[in-house]
Amino acid sequence: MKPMFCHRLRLLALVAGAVVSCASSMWAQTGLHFDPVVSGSIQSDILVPRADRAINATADEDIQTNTYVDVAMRSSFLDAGLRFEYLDHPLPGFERDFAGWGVPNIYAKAHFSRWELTLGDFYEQFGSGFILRTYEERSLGVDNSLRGARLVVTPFDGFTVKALGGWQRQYWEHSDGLIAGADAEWHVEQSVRALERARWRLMLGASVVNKHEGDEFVPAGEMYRLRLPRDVQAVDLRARLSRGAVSVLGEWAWKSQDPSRDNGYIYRHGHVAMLSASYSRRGMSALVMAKRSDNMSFRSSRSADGTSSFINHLPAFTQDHTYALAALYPYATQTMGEWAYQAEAGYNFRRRTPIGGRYGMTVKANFSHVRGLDVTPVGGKGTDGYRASFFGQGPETYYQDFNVQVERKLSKAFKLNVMYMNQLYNKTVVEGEGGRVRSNIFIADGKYQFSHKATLRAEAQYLTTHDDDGDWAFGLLELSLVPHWMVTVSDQWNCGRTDLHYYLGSVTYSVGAHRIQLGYGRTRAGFNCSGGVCRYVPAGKGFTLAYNYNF
Amino acid sequence: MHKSAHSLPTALLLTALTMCAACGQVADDERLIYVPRAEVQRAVLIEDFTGQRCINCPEGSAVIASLQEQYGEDNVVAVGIHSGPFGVNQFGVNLPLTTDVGRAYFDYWHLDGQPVALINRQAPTTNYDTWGADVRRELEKPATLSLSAGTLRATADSISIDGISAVALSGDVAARLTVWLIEDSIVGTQYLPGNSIDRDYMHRHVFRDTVNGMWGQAVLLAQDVPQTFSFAHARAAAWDVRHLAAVVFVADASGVLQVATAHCEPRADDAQQ
Repeated sequence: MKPMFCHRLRLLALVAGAVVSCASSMWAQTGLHFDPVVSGSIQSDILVPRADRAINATADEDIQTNTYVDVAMRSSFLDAGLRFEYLDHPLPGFERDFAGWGVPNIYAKAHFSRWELTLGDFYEQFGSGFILRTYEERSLGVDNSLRGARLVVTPFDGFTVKALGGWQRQYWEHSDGLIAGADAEWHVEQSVRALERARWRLMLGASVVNKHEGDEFVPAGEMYRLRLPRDVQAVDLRARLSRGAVSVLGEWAWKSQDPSRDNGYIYRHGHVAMLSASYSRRGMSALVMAKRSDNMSFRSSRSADGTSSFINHLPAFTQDHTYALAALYPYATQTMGEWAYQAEAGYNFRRRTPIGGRYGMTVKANFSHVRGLDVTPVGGKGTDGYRASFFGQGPETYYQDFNVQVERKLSKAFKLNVMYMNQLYNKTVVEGEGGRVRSNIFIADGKYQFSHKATLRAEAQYLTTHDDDGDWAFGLLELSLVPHWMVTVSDQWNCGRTDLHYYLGSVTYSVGAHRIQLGYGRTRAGFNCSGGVCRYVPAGKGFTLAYNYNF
Repeated sequence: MHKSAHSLPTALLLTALTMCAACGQVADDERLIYVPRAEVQRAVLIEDFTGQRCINCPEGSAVIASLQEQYGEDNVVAVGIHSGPFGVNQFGVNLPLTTDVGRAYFDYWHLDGQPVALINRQAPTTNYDTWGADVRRELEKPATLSLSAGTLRATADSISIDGISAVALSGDVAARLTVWLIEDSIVGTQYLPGNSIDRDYMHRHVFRDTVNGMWGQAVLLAQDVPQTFSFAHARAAAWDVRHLAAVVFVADASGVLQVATAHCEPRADDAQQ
């Protein structure tokens, strides 16, 4: 662990211990019982790599592992916890500074009926995350937690105020930039009885975040450097109105001047606006939403790149797919700006109806479309960068996806899901090169239950395209033997261009809170581009061991 | 309804919003700060780990060219080391300008992302927008040794570098002397943003080979006592000696201490080819 990291950790442990001690003392005077419950988890993913010239996989290390151990104590008024991470020889595909080991997460939280105080490392989100979202996502190597203090107060039912401040985790260091923020959210119907009687629900929210960062020498031409704002503010306003099955949410966020590596050190303000409407009742659902984002990358270090240091999070307005070929070309939000639309509808045909059949049938359709803004450049570094009218749409489609899924139980033992998807993926925009990839994807996923102890699931997928690597085929068989065993084999075959097979086989054993999986196979390579720098995620091959334990 | 409880948090939030909206804004005419030209105390080596499939690498190359124009190519010595995942094709085979030695350097430094530069072998940086600041900082550091790259000559099948001279200026220096061969102005393919390929791209300062091993040789330079070195290397048929140069640098654990270049003095018959 780095020295500064250790110093802050010791300080934090001292303060957290003081909080625990004070809270215990205060609580002891109330005469109430301290009844802590300890829980935790162990997660370890291990790879024993093997070289494979056919897919350009190397074996630079003997063993690679990402291992996490979480321990938490919860009680009626005091929680505390820590997490140990061993990432010194991490799995392939993570950024260089990701490697390390130590205790990067430790916290103590005192909570009573109307308030709670957290000292240490914490995660928080304001609204949809447009100006603040800190979270952990291990598969992506993301952990942008804040280390500091957070106070949450609920002065009366339905109204919550939060205030926080701290430094953001950047791998095994913390940002120099100090983050401070406040959020207020009011569920009005809990205060205005007339609304509640009329079955209306109204949520109003407002947030503000400030980042304070020191100066930095950023050249601008031969004889100049940039005067950089030391404070960057972001504001978020939101409202949600719902009644019965209908709900409408509107959210708007603004960011002050924030010249950064992500935007080429321009001084243009940032904006996000989102509007969504949904309808949901038993057997039927519909959703439409639109979002416009413009220069809203917000980091705790202005010159950071890659996946670290994001204060906020702009979700991709596209459906997350879990089927392998549907997820072959995943879209990533373009931080410089985009218009995104999504519409989704689902209907359940009830059983014993002409269309629903004996057991019923569910149909879902989803459409998403993302395109750039209509921008007019006005200059480079040190200027406002560009102009963009609010409703202007750029000429480039970044991503488009239309898919229909049908789920139907054909017999008492057999259930079938089928899906068709038409996709347009602008590889040039997302990855930097490769043109547009237009594809049609066909998926069938069947599950047959032999007995209450044995189930077999099979997937067959086919992606057809004239672009990029051409057609792909995917097949999977998964046998579950309740309660302990699962065996899975799969193969993803590039039948279009390379004729390479990416096969995987695994055996999983679960008993009680333990789960262990042993596997062997290949994974394909790809590029991850962010902030003007592209990182290579290498192809891999080898034995894998995954262990999970929850206590 | 608790009116006082409603109004106070709301008022505080609105006040904060109003105040903060005015914080930290920089007016249009105040965004640039004049910076005097750096006082050059020594030369700086930029190891630019690049690749023909790296679409953003030309941006980094443009920054380097600008720095060389500003401070002179003798003070800012650039070497384009074609390497990394963007220096090979999809089957892992070296592209024309990539060398096994270059790839070994990339792997040794555990580099991540391209373009990435080592500036006087300080921490690697992918932020080419601030390479100018890193170069400026290194240029202004006092020189601890003086270095001359000697004379580079080519025959039909060999390269010789004679008269490399190094002398410590303030105290003895224990370091390693490394000699590289680079070739300038190679026309070849380069991937560019927007899914385009330039097949007539001018590649500058391309690393070709090391003359005395990946990490050079150990040298012990006594203060004010010059030492001279000479080397020879086989000449590859693909090299154009008119654009060949030797890059000589001395480095220790703290980084590159000094760097110098010598351009090839071609024979008369080479000039006619």
